[in-house]
Amino acid sequence: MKKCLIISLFFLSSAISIYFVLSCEMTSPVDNVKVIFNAASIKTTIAVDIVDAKTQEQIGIYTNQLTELSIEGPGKNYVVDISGKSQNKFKTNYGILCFALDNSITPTTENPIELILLAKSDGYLPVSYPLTISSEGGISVLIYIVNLNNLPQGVSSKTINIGRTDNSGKVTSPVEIATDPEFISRVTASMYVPVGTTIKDAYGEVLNGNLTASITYFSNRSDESTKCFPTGNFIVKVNEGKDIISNGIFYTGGFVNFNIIDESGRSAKNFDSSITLNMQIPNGTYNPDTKNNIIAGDIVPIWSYDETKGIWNFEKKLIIASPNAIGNYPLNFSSNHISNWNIDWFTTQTPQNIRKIRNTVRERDRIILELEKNQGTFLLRANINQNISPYLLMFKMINSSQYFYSSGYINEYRSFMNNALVPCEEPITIEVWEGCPFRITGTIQLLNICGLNEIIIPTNETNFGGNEKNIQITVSGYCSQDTTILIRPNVPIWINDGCRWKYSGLMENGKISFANLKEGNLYTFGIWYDNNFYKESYIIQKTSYNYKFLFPAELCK
Amino acid sequence: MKKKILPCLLLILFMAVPIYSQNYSVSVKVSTLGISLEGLRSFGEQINARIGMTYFLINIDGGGGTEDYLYNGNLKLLTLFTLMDWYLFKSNFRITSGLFFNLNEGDLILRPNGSHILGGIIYTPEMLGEISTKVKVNLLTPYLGFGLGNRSISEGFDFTMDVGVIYQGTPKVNLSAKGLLAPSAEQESLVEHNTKWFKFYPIISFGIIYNF
Repeated sequence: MKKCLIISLFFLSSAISIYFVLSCEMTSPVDNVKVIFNAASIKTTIAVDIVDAKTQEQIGIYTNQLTELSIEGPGKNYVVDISGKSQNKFKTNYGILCFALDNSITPTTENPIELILLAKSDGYLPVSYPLTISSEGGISVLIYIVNLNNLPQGVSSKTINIGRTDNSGKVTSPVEIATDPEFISRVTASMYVPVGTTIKDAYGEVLNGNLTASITYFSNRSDESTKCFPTGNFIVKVNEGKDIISNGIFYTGGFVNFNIIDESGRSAKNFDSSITLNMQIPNGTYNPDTKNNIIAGDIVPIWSYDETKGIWNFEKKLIIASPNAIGNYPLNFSSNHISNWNIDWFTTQTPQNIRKIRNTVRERDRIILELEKNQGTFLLRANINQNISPYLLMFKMINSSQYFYSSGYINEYRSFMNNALVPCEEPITIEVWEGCPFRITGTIQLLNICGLNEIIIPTNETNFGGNEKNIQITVSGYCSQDTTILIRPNVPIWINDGCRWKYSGLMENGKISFANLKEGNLYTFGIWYDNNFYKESYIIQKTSYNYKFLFPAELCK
Repeated sequence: MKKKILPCLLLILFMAVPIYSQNYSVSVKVSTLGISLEGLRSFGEQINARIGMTYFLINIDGGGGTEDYLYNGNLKLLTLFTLMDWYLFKSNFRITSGLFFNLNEGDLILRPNGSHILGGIIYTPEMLGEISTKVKVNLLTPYLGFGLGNRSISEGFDFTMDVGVIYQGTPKVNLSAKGLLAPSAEQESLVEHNTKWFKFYPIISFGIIYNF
């Protein structure tokens, strides 16, 4: 009996113990645990915004219109996509894209990487944008592009069908096309092609069949217009003749895009006989040679653009004739080729008269630009601790009214770089553009930027105030084959504060911080890869957010 | 303070204070904590005191081949303990409680096996690095259990067994990673959360005892 009791007690205790242990909710130690690794870092990334010059919105961001960007130039072999795969052609339906330089190359001031970005989209005037990269880091490029059906201020355009060529490709009737007077300056541009002319494209192929001619004139009297300068900026590389290449700045008298295409899409480049081109310079145009507005008898150089090299070729110097009835100054000349034609005074910028903006500091009511003498290109580099949102610095020549702008946004935490030459001893205005709607929040006028070590630009406090939060976003991508592996990418990121999309810096190892976002406001963040724009919106309530997204199958192969 | 507890207990257990008939025993056991050696002294018919240690060490290497990872792990179980048996009904059945000085720990290192390609970049094992995990538990852990045997009534060999648990607390996980795998270490708190249930370590032991 006693033995029985002992055995019963033992087994009862054992049963209670086993039940006790098993009743625990046992989870695997690796339940929901992922293998997380950082994507290999890419040292130089280029974020590109292709923006409609009129609407200021990225092309296709709301309409999904396709834009193609092909990259040429001496450095094109170093171009890779953001995952490191060699690639020179990109497509985007968002007006936003990014690419990178292979890690094997380190761009420096002494050995910069030169690229030509060729952007085209249906209904838009193609753009050839030369980009010089002279340091590692995240670079932002803004390319303004003209919608021929919604022209920006200061631009006029005309497109007409000019009939068919004969069987040998000769023009069968004279071609005469002129733009309507541009709204602000009342300037027109025109082209005359005589009958019997044979037209060839850049590869020597004869244009055949039905021809369409177009002229687009860009006035130098409008900000919207000058932003569309064919090379994206007035900081240019020129061939002054006999292959002497110089870097410097254009003071523009306006520019014109001439084009003829045939029914198979070939674009005219050369003519077997001379054609006549007519351009005008608006009254009030600043002549940097005379330091006064132009008058009859002034001399002005004419330049044509080589899209494949990103270089302006000197064509000829013209003497400005007497003004027409409106007061504008006509220029007539003949040529046997067409492209973008430019009326510009060129000034070489030597390293001695160029300053570098070493650092910018964003404070609540001002932006401080720290300058230093630099032997080389003029760089913008940001190291900002108290930024509220990305902002854009614009350098505007007071006399000529033309913009030299840093083609990108300056943002907190991220270094930002782009070439932005500003001539010494020329009065300029620096504008700070930011906020929603995007507007000028601060300006300063300077007589000579090169005489300063520091520039303080007072700004309005319109973007500050209310409850603000500093947030961190962690982004991880995964492949469908194995969702237990997460990859933290190194990619440019864009932010939309309910107003518009803005480049906001380079996300490193899947993490990026934003300062002073308005609590309770909706923000959308986006990253672009392989023509996919991955977006995620948050109403700002906490300080950290995690976002996971599925990588395209192509990337995971 | 904790350091002083164990020596004091040992001193009390083996003080030569004759209260009842006293016998000494030694036992060897196989348990869920490894091989166990212990010394025993009875304080009358209903009370025994025990001290001992357990030890177990295993090293595992694996992975490779078609596996994505190579791993190398070590499990070291080392405890020193002091226990008290209380016999019920003047029988062999007893309730046991006491304290374990718990030096158990495990570690595991995980390394990628071969290169991986993502986009245009080859990720070599050297670039990816490794993930290391170390798990420890509380140093002082109480024990409660029951068992059969250990009664030092007659000289010679006898059978003994124990069933019980030690309360070791939530395992402390230390996750670290090198190379590109570094962010994996951010999940330390998740792994710790997943092992939260493992506060009790089950003890089952069988062995033989020799009564002097």
